[in-house]
Amino acid sequence: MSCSLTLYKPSDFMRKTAAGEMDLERSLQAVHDLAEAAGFHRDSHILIDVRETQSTISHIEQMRLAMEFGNYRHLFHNKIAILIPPTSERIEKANLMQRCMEAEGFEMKVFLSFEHAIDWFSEVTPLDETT
Amino acid sequence: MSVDIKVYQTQDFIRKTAKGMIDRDRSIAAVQELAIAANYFKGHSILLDLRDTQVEGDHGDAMRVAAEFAHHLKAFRNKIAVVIPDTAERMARAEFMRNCMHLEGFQWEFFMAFEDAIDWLSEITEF
Repeated sequence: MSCSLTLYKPSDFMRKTAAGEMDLERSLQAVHDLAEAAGFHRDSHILIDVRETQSTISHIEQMRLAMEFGNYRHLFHNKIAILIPPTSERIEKANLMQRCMEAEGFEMKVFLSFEHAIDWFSEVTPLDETT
Repeated sequence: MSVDIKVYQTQDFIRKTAKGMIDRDRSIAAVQELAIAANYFKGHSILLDLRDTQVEGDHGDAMRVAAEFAHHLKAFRNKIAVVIPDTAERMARAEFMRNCMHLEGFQWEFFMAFEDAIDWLSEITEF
């Protein structure tokens, strides 16, 4: 048996979970909701969980969405993690979204696993490693 | 599309990840090591990640491991979440262990998904 011991200091985060079909209009509304929440919880990271969604958004619409985030840039101070389904089409879309968001000045990463998103939100310190 | 926003405040926690075969002696040694860490980092919850393990031993061994935890009760004041493989055999073992740990007075729960363990270790409020 091998063991590792690690100390986790997770930062607070807001989790927005969506299910069903995501089009531009609803995605824009979600950005507005998130901006409002981010204004109240300024020290929290943001986890956007869209694993249970189907996306109908085009590349141009993704840029529009990133611009909408950019309009609320002053409210988003922390990391934004997006949790997506593990399909090549969604990964490609999410990577484009990440590039658009980075161009708008956001710190954003795409994840396929909740666990990896939590790692990114946490200060993780190895305490020991024994085999 | 349905949407909701929740705010997660997750307490700091110590994560112990084990891999390979677990038997009674190694489990007891792991509990002792964990007790040292938990004693040092007071106020932290514990997450035991056993997803990549196989288990040897019977109910008597589980009770012995629970007794070892109880021996260090003062070190383990907070929640202990255990993440296990998603099999009927491991669930049955985990349920027995949970009963033992509850009898010893611990806040102990097991999960098949890391995500559910984090939910349990977090204070979650609706926005």
